Amino acid sequence: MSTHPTKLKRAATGDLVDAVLHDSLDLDDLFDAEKHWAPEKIEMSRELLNHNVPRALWPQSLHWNWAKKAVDLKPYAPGPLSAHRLFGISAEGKWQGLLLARCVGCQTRIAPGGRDLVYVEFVETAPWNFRIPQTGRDTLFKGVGAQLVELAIRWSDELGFRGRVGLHSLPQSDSFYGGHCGMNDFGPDPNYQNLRYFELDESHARTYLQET
Amino acid sequence: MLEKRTMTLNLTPAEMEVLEGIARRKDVSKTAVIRQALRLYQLVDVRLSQGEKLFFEDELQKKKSELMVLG
Amino acid sequence: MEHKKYEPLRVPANRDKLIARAVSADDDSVCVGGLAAKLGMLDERPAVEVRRAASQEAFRLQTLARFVQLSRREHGLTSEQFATKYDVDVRELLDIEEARGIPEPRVLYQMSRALGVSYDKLLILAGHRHSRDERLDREALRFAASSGPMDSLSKTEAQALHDFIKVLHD
Repeated sequence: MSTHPTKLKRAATGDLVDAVLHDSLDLDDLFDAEKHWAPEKIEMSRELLNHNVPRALWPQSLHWNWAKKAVDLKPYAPGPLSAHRLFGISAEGKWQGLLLARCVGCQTRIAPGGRDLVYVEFVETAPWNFRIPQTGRDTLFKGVGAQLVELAIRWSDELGFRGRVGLHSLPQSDSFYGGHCGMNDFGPDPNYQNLRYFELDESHARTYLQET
Repeated sequence: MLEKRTMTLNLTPAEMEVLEGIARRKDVSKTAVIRQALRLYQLVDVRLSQGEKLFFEDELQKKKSELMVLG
Repeated sequence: MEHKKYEPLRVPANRDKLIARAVSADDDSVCVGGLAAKLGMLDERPAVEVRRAASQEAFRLQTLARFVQLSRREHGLTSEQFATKYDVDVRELLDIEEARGIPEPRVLYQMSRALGVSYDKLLILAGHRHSRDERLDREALRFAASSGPMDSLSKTEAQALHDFIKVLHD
């Protein structure tokens, strides 16, 4: 496992807190994260019910349970020569977010097409990092999603794919990938239940990783 | 960084042409192509050894054809 | 063993500017659904429908919020005064005016009597009844577009409010 120090921002106070980027996790770490996130997800569900928030406005990943899909996840198990790699961010002793990416079998749609890219299979942030205005719940830490995407871009770069990344966004996240990340929006993909497919080109990848 | 080991790879002109063609089309180095090939081979090999089969699917014609990989 | 180890990612030691950009991003919602779609974990409704339904429900709740708030202001009442006069819980009133959650039918009934509008139409706005009322949606859009955040109603706001009230009558 290799790690890199970083920072997250505590949304309530604006303070920067120490955090750690992890670039080679395994499925055990995913299940550990789920174990710690589960009680908070249950609390969130209770709040959403008590505030009569319409089901369509609930965070779409609230009911996801990767442990339940453990057997199905086996082919996606990350490893040094695996097609998959699992990245994460931790802070204050807890997992704040995880990202699983794949580097084999995905090709760009951006012209001229057919080039390899890193495909993001999932991104999960800890439930205390969700913002739900209807229940008054605000994000705890900012910077989780943006830095996980940075790791996916770096992996793509090191594989020789020049930072090209693709993913299918959930509706509530479309503006993040199209906006902050500068990804090209290819619209609803009928092969993925009409989730919008986004792709980061080389130029925007370079911009994303720029330190100037 | 992990220590890397160097290997000399002898390829026929036809094999080199394929390797260079893929590298050019994918806009990556030849080394990157070989590394991707290794990952793909390993991925396929692991699942075949677990009893699964590998198929290509023609979405338009709704046809599936099995890809045989000799182990 | 050596060959079990990953090649670590090359991450620069100084990422101050990257970190600054990351923590200023609106990244509270970053979920991605590719693997979930493959493993059958997504909602049954197609994502486009979910998105459309979510935005329509949010819009109707916002319309209800604005309507109640402007009506209260037209009466020249604070939230507390309005709540006392019409026997409404002040917290429930504030929840409606800030579109926080879905108001219960009981509260909507009290609001309909207080404001002299159709209880049925308030149920539709709050999402308790589903109805393809195109006129309601059209007028709600016009109402939303014509009102702004001011303490006392402008002439335009007052006119927009009265036009919308007509739509909310039986």
